[in-house]
Amino acid sequence: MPQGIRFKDIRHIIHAAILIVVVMVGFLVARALTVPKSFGQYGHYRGDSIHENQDLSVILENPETCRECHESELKRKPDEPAIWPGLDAWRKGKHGSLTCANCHGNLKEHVERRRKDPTSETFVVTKDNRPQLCLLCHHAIVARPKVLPIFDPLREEHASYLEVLKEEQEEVIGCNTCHPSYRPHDPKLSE
Amino acid sequence: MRVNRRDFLRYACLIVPAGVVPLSRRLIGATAESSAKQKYSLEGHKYAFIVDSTRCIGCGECVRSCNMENKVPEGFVRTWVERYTTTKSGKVIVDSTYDVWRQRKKAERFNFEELKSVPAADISKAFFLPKLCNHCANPPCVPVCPVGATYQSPEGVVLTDPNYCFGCGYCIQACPYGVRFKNPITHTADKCTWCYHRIVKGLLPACVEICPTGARQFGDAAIAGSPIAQVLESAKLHVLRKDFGTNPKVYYIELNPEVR
Ligand code: HEC
Ligand code: HEC
Ligand code: HEC
Ligand code: HEC
Repeated sequence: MPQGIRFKDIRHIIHAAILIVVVMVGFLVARALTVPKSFGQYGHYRGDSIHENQDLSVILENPETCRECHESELKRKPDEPAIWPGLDAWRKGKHGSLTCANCHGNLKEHVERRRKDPTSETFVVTKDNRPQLCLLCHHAIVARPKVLPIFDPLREEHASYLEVLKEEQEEVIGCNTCHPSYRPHDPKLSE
Repeated sequence: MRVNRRDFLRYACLIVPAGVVPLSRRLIGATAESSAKQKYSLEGHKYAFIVDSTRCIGCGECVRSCNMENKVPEGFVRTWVERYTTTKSGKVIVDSTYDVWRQRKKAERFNFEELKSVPAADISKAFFLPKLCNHCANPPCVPVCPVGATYQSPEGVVLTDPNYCFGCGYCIQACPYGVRFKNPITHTADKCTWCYHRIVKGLLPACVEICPTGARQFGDAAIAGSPIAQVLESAKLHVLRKDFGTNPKVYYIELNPEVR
């Protein structure tokens, strides 16, 4: 120590310095314990959050998933035409821009179960055939673009749906009695 | 106790590293551990979303599929469709799939109903307009987060971290497009992620996948010659509220001045 300066004179400075160091170390330790591990990996956020967001499960299936098993038509009876025409034929049809989920809903379970058990008789897929579903897209409401084929309730064949439009009646014949689900463009006229 | 300078330095040398060493171990350890498992590269993507409102038929299937895909709690939506109806006298009436759902208390489908308040003969113009998170290049919601629980991923997708968010709601207030909401189950901020979990696997966002008319399109403009890159180059595109300076990455083909 330089002559003339005694410890007593600088004690307050040393105390202050110790206090600062203790606070700083305390802060660093507390920070190390509370800031998540991956924070700052990519930026000012938890890097692991990116991976957590990526790992969420996919539910909506792409029609290409169905190719695995439904690439070709499904013929139920040899003398009747198949309802399901096969994936490529469906794509070319007028409803080819739709997705299976529009009418078949959540298919994740179907795909998973069929991969395990292709022959099970018990499990069925939702096959939404209510006129309400078709009208979701074809009902003539304000602002529908001109290119969309519109359901004309005044057409003689469509007369039975006037109640559906008013939501007074729930059960009526499916639109696919005349417009087959996969060939909506050729209405086979009912007798 | 008498402490001389030598002793002080000696103690300091012992105490300070005792705090710093575990800290640096945590930081170094974290980076080395989690960077190894990735196949999908976070670099080199330029995602863009294009909305062609002239093709939208207002079926609301996008809303339904989004809710199914992202398990959005009942009564909330991450994307919706608005309908702008202009009457002959110049009045603009706006309704949305969300209003319809609210009125009917039916979560199954999100379609529009006939506009009852205006007779058809009075309408001069009407169109649908899908809306979703704009994934702004300059997002107002990110800097307001006090803990870094909402952020822009390296690809520019604005994401939330439900495990870190504590639900203060600043980001919900900050969003000028109103796309954020507080998830009533997790009590954290929730929003459209462009289905980040799907796009990293090479799939399309659920709303794009299900759209029956191609009104919603999505792609990586960094891939030269991809359809989205071509649209971005050729068509004249618009963004919502350009004057806010948020630089949205959701582009609209045709945006009428009525749109808010
Ligand atoms: C792992 C194979 C597999 C995959 C993948 C698959 N399916 Fe199936 N699916 C089947 C089998 C097997 C049947 C039963 C056929 C029969 O009854 O003869 C079936 C039947 C169906 C039926 C009729 C069900 C019924 O109750 O009559 C529908 C609808 C269907 N599949 C839709 C789909 C769609 C849409 C996809 C794509 C997301 C898909 N499937 C993917 C195997 C599969
Ligand atoms: C417009 C609505 C709609 C869409 C879109 C749709 N389906 Fe269907 N599908 C139906 C209906 C309704 C049935 C019930 C059979 C009928 O038409 O009577 C059915 C039946 C089926 C069947 C069983 C056929 C049989 O003989 O029992 C298969 C397989 C099938 N769909 C596969 C698919 C696949 C794969 C896709 C997507 C690529 C798809 N469907 C898209 C409405 C639809
Ligand atoms: C998710 C929306 C959606 C649903 C649900 C839907 N359609 Fe369509 N439908 C369309 C679109 C879009 C077109 C126009 C396709 C085109 O022109 O390329 C179309 C075309 C048609 C056409 C006209 C085909 C032609 O000749 O141009 C008929 C008829 C039709 N659909 C009937 C039905 C029926 C019946 C149902 C119910 C089983 C149904 N649609 C369900 C979207 C839908
Ligand atoms: C009794 C038979 C029948 C039933 C049931 C039926 N339609 Fe039709 N539909 C027709 C006929 C016939 C046409 C005229 C087809 C044409 O002009 O090519 C038609 C035309 C259409 C068109 C216009 C197609 C175009 O090319 O512009 C749409 C859309 C349509 N129907 C939707 C529906 C919907 C939705 C339902 C159920 C709510 C339904 N149809 C039920 C017979 C029927």
